[in-house]
Amino acid sequence: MDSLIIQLLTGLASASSLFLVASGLTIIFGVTRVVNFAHGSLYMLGAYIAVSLVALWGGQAGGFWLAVLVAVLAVGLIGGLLEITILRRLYRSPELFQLLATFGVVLIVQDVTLAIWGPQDRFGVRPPGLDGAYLLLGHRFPVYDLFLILLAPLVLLVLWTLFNRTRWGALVRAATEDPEMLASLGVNQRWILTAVFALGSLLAGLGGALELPKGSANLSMDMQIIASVFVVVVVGGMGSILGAYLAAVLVSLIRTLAVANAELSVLGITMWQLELVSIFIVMAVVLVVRPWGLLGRPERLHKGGLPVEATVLRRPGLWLKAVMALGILILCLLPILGAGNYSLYLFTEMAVFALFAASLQFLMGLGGVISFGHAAYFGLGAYGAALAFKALALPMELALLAAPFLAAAGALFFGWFCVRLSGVYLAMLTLAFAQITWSIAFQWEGLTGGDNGLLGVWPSEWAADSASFYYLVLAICLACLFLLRRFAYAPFGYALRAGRDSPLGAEAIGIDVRLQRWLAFTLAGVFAGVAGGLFVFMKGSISPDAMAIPQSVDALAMVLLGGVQSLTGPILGAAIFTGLKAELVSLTNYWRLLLGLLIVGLCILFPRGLAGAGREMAAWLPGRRP
Amino acid sequence: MTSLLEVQGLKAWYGRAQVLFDVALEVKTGEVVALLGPNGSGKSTTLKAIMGLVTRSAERMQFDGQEIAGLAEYQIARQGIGYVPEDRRVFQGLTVRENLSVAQRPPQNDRVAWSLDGLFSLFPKLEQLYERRAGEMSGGEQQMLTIARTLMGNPRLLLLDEPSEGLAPVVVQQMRQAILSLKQEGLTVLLSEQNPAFAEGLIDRSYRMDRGRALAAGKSAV
Ligand SMILES: Nc1ncnc2c1ncn2[C@@H]1O[C@H](COP(=O)(O)OP(=O)(O)OP(=O)(O)O)[C@@H](O)[C@H]1O
Ligand SMILES: [Mg+2]
Repeated sequence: MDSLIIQLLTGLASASSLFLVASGLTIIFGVTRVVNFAHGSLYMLGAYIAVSLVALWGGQAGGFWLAVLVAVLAVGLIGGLLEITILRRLYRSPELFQLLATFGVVLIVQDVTLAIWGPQDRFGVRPPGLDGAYLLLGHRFPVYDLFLILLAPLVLLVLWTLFNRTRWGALVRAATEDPEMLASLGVNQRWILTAVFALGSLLAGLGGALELPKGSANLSMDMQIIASVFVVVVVGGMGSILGAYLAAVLVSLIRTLAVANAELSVLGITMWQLELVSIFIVMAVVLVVRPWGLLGRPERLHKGGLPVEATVLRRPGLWLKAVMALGILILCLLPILGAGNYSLYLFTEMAVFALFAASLQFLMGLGGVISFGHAAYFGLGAYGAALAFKALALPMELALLAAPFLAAAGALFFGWFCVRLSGVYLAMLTLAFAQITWSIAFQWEGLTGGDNGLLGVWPSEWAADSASFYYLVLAICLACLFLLRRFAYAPFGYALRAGRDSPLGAEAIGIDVRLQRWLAFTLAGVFAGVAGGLFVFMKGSISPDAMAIPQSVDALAMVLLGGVQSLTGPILGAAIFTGLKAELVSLTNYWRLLLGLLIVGLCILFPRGLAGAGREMAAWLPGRRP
Repeated sequence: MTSLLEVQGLKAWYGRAQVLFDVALEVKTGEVVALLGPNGSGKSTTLKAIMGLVTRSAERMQFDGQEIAGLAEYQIARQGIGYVPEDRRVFQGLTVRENLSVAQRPPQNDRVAWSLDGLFSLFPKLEQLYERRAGEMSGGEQQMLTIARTLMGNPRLLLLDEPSEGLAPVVVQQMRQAILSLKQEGLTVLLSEQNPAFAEGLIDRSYRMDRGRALAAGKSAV
């Protein structure tokens, strides 16, 4: 009993920093409607800046707190600058471009941090004066943890007062509700948005700086925290600060209990293995019971309307068909034309990602289902093939067949939950499911090899040389892309689009929109799984990275780059993105920085993707109607 | 009387659709001028265009001798133009007190600022509902709040879009009374209205709008 109380207190302490970061994200989302992937990066910056400043001044309590204060203000300033330079230009773009741009910022911050602080972890120190421990119920309990436990409700109170009891708070809430009206009352609401972004960033920085004495500043903390923070924000209800607190406490308690009872096992699964998975399960359960989180409010339809523009899917004209046929011909002739091993490998990779991106486009463009976690099905396919090859000792041909089955099983199961939601909550749930599959691959070491993954998954003899493997991949990918096309123009595709553009109308004429979406989700999963299966034989190995958040975002980037609304778009997007990334990686160690800058630049310059820009240009050409 | 607002050659668009073609109008200091016309004739759009809320271009759009066509909406408001939209866009989640406080701006020159008491004597209902959330008020009460809110910015020109729309007859009378007292205070008003009975005796002049054009109609054509 005593140790349970101590465990609960430890859980509360770790909830604090999680709450600080989550409150910042929820405030930013509530006001600007931007899902800020870079929030984890701001948290990481808070930790790194604090670690440097504490090393300089931190000998005494005064110096330590000064260091924290300066670090936190610095992160707030960085957030404000991000808003002014990047997000401010994107408020009118489709939401997905905002998200993509913030992911570009994630990449930039990663490399900048690496350049400034180097690859080693930096360990923090306890603040002087709070470094002792109390004897509590016979256990030593750190004073610093007690400080954290008390801090979170204090910050909650301060934020509540700020938003509900000050004129600035009223201005923020007014700007959230109706920015145009506020502007016509003479308020320059752009600065309010900047201030809100800076405040949210500051809270992320505070979370980072205060987490430091309990751990280290390291380069993976941005992605580690962002997944948990998304969970907390979604479970609490997006935009609700109190909800974020409750959810942070809930999530942290569950996690602490799992860690503290690590050796306990249920049905042969130890609690340790459940730790990461557990919080995503909490999220899935909460969202199914309360689709808007604990304290959230139903999403009002955005002014921009649909998350995906409803445009007519045109059948390709004769010239486009000719171009495609020519393209396929050239692709088939590549090895004969004397393409080297490296370029064949690159083209193989492009084909794999073209299929992956096309499957996501199918789901988003036709189904209107936004997925932040499509890599889950890619990864399931990859692991399915790798496990069939390694554990069941099946040959490549059969292992490739196993890939779509595991992906389909995952997509069927997760899809059932996902199609019950819409908008940002749906997207977040897909992300949570991707994180679940990631955690399972990461923590089920016995089967999946954990962090190292599965190695030595090579193609059969006949497909071992790069040209044969290229032909194999090309054939499978072309066949799958052709199938996806058929689905798009089949009655199923039309029903899907009807459900996307007008769910109520579609229901009224007898279309079961949920069922159609579920089918689409599963189909998209199947094709992503095929791509994953090919991927593992191309690489010869697989690790959990294949279904981590960056992989899902890569797919989004490919689709958005090429255009959500055309079937050929994602293929081009995948080719450009894959080629570009390969080029950058071979060019410099700081390829993330360049890629990030490129992504941000593209989002700002072409707020409707390259395909959209092409359409707009075509509309201006003489002799063609828009 | 000097001219407070002067507009010539005003055009406005929603997306690619042009809605205003060549609107010209003038409001002199202290006048109450009405835009009359059938549904969809462009009354609301004219007010929005003056406020900078739609894409527009104008040969001339001067407020108190200053060109305002190039300014952002918040700058136009700060010049002294107050806008009351037709669809009662109160901030639903804010209380009456907060709705009034976000709109508060100091008066220009050395004019006397609107005080809360002044607003309460104009709209007594608002005093009773001071701590009520705007989303929980009736349509008429919300309409009073939007006007009071705009007055908190101490405008010199008030753009009022259909102040009587959708209100019960008693409330319409109160509204008319309130605008009359604003007129007596010396406030200049440009309002859009479809209800001739409401405008009768209240306005000095009117323009008749028709398919995106404004024709001066003088006093008699109400
Ligand atoms: N948001 C909008 N988008 C596109 N067109 C619009 C929009 N608002 C108005 N219109 C069009 O612009 C024209 C003028 O509309 P406006 O609202 O200015 O008319 P009005 O005179 O105020 O009408 P009412 O008396 O009904 O309020 C109409 O043809 C209308 O259909
Ligand atoms: Mg109107």
